[in-house]
Amino acid sequence: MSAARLAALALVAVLAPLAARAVERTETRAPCAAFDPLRQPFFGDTHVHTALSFDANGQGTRTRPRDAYRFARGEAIGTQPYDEEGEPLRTLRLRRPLDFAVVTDHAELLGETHACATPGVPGYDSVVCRVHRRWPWLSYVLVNGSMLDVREPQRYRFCGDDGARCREAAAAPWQEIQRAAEEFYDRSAACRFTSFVGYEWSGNPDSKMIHRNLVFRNTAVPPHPASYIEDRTGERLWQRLRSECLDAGIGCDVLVIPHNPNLSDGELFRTTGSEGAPLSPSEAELRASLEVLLEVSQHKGDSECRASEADPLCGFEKLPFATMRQSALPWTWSAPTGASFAREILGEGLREGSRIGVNPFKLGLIAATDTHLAAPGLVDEDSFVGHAAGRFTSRTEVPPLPDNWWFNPGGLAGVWAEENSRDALFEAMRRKEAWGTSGPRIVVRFFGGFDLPADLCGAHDFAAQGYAKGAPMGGDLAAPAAPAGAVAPRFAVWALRDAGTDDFPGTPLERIQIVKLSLAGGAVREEVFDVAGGASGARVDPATCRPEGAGADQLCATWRDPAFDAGAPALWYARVVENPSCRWIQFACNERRVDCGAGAPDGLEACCDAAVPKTIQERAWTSPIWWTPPGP
Amino acid sequence: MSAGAARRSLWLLAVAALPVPILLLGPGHVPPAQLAQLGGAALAFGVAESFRGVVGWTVLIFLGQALLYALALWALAGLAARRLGALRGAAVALAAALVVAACLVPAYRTPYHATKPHATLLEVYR
Repeated sequence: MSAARLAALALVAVLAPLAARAVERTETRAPCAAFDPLRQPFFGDTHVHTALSFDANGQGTRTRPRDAYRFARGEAIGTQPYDEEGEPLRTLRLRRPLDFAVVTDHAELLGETHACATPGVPGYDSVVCRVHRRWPWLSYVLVNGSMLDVREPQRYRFCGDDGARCREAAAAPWQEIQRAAEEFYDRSAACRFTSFVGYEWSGNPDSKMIHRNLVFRNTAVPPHPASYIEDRTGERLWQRLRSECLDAGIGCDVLVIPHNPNLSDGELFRTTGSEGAPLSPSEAELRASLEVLLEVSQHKGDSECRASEADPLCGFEKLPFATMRQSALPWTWSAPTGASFAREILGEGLREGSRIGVNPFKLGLIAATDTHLAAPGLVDEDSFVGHAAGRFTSRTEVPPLPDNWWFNPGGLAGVWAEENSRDALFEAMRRKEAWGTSGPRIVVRFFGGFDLPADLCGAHDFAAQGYAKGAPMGGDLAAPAAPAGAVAPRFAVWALRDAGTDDFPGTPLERIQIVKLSLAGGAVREEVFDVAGGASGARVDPATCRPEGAGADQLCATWRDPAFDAGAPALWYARVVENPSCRWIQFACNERRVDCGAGAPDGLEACCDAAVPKTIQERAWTSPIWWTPPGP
Repeated sequence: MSAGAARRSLWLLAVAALPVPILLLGPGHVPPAQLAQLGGAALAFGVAESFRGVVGWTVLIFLGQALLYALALWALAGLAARRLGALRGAAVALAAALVVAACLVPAYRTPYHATKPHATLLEVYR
């Protein structure tokens, strides 16, 4: 046995008990048979709506939390449209089950949706509910536009004084969500699937999306979900979570995942509080302690970076409008303002951290679907059926194209955890050892440190050394032994392509990039470095969607930052890019045999619109690693 | 049949059954009376709850479209009644027959129906 191997084994022997102890058990369950102290990759979906959500309900979704979890575990479900006998006209099934999922129905109108669908519940005979049942699309327009897109929403009158009736009505669906999460959580040693209790807080002031998904660690949850109708700002939400969960003495723990900053028009990550004053350190601390991950990509577009010539890959899955209200009024379309993309938000975080000593936007990156069909993880481009999340409905018929061309099937969350249990996954998400993909199951590891060896890629103990000598994605660079100004950090990144299935193989990798944001003179600087692979000339034939050209099954690189400034706050994250492949719309147009020379048929005009992207480069984004200069 | 009676009859039948494009908050083809019905539903929603947000606009959009079509059809019905002369009765009978046919054939396309994108006249109002 070589000395290197002996050293590696010794390292693992030291790390293993540490890691085992690192997962704090907050629930009763069997230990997982597959436990790896060096952590394993798990894929899941943290953004899932079912018929309990008012918008999904109006759009014809009948599947409920149980169905969502059945689907995530690999079972088939039916979906809209339904025939007159109530039979679904379409069936959905994942090619590969997920490892975990969170049903995150909208907290707003949870009770109202239940009341409108359940005879005998107060409010069932109200005008709002009658309109909802008879003209669901009209109800969708009226309710979204009068309740959720306004700054000061009020409960409906039928909800009674202070909305108590509807809050009480929300108890039944809230219980249903919890029951479903419990039923499908595998507490056996097999640890096949993890389901979390969660919901979505869905503020939309002036149609600026400030939505957040909440994931609870275990079965200890607040008695009611917090809603934008009662708690109209992020600050109010965090305070309620603190009082009703974290400090409630019930064993409750929660993390918050803001999403769709691309539709927030800068409202989701402002550097002022709701009263307009600059964020204080205590506010920033509370925010950073709860909001640990950002959903960087989903059905409603990509939020990594603003489209620009400086980084052509930022043109990926960009929405042509800034808010959902604009989406219905094409003549109003504009680019979002403010910090509406992850890079801008993370950069603002560096700036705020420098100003007040606490970075309020210290966010890891994940992705999800935001399905409104109770179909978590349904991300395949070649069989996209729409997710019914963007004012596009297949309630009564299968439309010519499954969705508006600007939407997409959404992405997945990847998590490095010791085992597939609630505690392990939750802790992984909290420490931001997580990544997002635009759909494919690309596995990526990312370490940074001043002592990482340059030959780490060839090492069989890549992860062990990464943990021992550096920080994983989501972590902070520890100050080096030598003066920080004299050395520069090294990063090690390894990515494995999605193998896919026998019938639907994945796409090879093209390159790995490291994106660096640093603060200098009050300005945030963005740099993108190719560190592995590169343009290979690979392409995809749109007519057949068959990929052409070479690519990599895996890529690995170590890279030392050439311009590290120990006095400047900075962060680095990795972006893994696949070879080009067909976007969902190209698959759909090919399947429908659209001949653009003969003119596009009704409803399929986007197939022949040159401005509509037909190919994409799927990708993964790791959570960043941060550097904070030592204090004076 | 008098010109006035023919005009009123043709107008009523057209307002109740002629599929016209939904100009805003569509797409679809429905009778003007359904646009009025949807506007009325939005109005009831507003009266029962509030006209905040888009509710007031939605009422105006639907009732406005309904009114626009009703006025245009009133003018067209008057023109037709004058020009048809002795054929007025036959024209009204034909229009009535078409309305009966529309009750059997799914000639309307509406995003507002709860279960059917293509609906017959009866289903549009049901």
